[in-house]
Amino acid sequence: MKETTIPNQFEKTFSEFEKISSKIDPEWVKSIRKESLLIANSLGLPTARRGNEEWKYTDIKALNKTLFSDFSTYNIDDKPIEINYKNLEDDSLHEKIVFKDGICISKTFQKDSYVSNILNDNDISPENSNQLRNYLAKLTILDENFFAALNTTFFSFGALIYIPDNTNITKPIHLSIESSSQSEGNVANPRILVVLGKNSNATLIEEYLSFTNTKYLNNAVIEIIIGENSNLNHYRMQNESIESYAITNTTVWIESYAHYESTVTDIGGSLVRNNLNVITKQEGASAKLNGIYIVDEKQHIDNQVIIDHAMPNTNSRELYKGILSGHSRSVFHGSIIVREGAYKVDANQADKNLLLSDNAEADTKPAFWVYCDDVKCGHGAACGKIDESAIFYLQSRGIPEIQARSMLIYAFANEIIKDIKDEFIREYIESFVQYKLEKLIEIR
Amino acid sequence: MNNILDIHSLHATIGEKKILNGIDLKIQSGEVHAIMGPNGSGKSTLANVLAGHPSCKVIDGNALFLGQDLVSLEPEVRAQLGLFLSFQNPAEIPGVRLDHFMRAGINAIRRSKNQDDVDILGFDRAITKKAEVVSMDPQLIKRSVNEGFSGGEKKRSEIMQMAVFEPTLAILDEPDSGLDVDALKIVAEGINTLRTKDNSLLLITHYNRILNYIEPDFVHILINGKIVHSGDKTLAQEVENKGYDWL
Repeated sequence: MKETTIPNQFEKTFSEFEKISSKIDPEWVKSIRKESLLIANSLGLPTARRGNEEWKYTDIKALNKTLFSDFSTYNIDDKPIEINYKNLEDDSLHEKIVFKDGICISKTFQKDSYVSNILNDNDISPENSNQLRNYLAKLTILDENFFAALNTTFFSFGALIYIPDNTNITKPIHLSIESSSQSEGNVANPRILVVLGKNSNATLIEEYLSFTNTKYLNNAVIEIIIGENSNLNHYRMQNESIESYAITNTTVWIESYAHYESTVTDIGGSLVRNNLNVITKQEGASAKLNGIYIVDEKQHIDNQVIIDHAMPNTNSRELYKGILSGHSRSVFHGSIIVREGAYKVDANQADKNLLLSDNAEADTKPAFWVYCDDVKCGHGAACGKIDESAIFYLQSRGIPEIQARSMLIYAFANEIIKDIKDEFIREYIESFVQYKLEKLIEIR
Repeated sequence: MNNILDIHSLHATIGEKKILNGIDLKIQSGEVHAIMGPNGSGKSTLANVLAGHPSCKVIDGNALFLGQDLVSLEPEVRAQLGLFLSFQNPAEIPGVRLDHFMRAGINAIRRSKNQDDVDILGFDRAITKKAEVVSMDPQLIKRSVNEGFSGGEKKRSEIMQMAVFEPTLAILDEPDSGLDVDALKIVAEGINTLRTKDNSLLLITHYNRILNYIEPDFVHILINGKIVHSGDKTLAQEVENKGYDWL
């Protein structure tokens, strides 16, 4: 049953948008937009109605009231940037790409850049243009996904990161996705396509920052292809404004013997929804998906992670950890699919939550769809409070109670952080997590 | 000799239940006091009350430690003053390394005295030495506190911590439970090396066994939350032979 909240809600907005975009878009993009618009209109905002498992625990009705009044287009004002935690030094990065309110504003790239601006013809090489046509909007399944369809209708300049075969980039590429719109109800649609060739290695930092206190929707779509024998380390850090809605749809294809590693750190946003779909496209592909979310007050975070083992001899490891305070709520819905014939799959999933308040709630729901024998699948879920006997133990060694609590909370988060191999990124994410934890412990 | 601990008419409850029914006990510097008693007599509660466990509530009496009443002090302040509890069943702390745990404690105590934090390298070297006191595997120091430790390793770790913290008063809650003879000997000898004329021990035990290695100056028998009998080390032997019924 399809339900349209407001029929043809976006027709008018799109016709305004099109006045500009049609001057820039190649024909194939124009048709992608039109198709997506149809889908977005027909789907409407998802609701928590009966039978809609995907949105059972996350109510986004409020979006309709406040949002969709202002779609980011191609005009951007620069805003000063202030960050209250350790920032990345430029010389430790391969390159930094900045998005403002959903639009990639980096117009020129350094000499050895692997990044191009989607839709900016002056910039894009014929080879990159081919990659774009091959993959853009080909990975994400739009039919059932309102937000991905919305992004595909309205995205502006995005970033294509194309790393050719046999390329080893040692320093990370940093995507700084910044929200600064002062207009209430702004909708930003960052669009990122990452194509990693064969036998290549790269590290991507995708960071969401906010410099505004207005209500806005940041609705990102990220598509990633990892070629044969390649490795991608992907770090996402999300610190959107406490008023904002932050939605991401990430789809990853992993080719044979390629490896994808993702570490997601969510601390901001009023309502956060992350769809992460990982598909092992060829034999030998593997993925490690780690996540940490730290929420307080009335923050709501919903992680929907699907690992689709489409091929034999593929494996995945998934560990998400949540720290919840105040009246916050988390949803973790982890699905593992093992397709017919995908023998010798080894998949493991766990979600663990630490509740710091009686009013916080964590819903965790593992799901397995296994169509093959001879596989190894495991899962674990845990939800608990701070061990008071450990607090007393620490106090009995002279450590003040507040410090004891923060040590235990930090230790819980550290299971994810200590796993980050790159020391420089580990320290960065550590400071990011510490920043939120300090706030959380102060409020208590 | 100085008064280290002076407990006067101490009454305490856990929840609704009255556990301690008027304890009187004086410990002076250099002394070793053993507390023995049957199951449920209140031995561990006494240890927990002195260390400030939040579930134990003092309803009457006081416990002066170096002249200061412990009852109103936070557990960490008691530790900062020089009180140490060796736990019968210490908690596991996943994700916190034992060496970091001890360093955080030592630094917290130093900060309470306006002293600088310890030098990390020097501290690491020092704790490796302290581990030798109880022949503890130095690899354990780098692991999460008590996580995956055997019963014996936990006991060794507690006594190693005593060596690190150098308390004025150490309360040892059944440091012998669950140890085989060889391990008991090592732990007891470790405790003996830490004794000085300035510090004191309050040793809580179920059995006479450990008192063959650590010689007490006084033995107290605790029954129903009250010390019903005190004597010298021969009392422990008497309890061993006759049980508690005659008391």
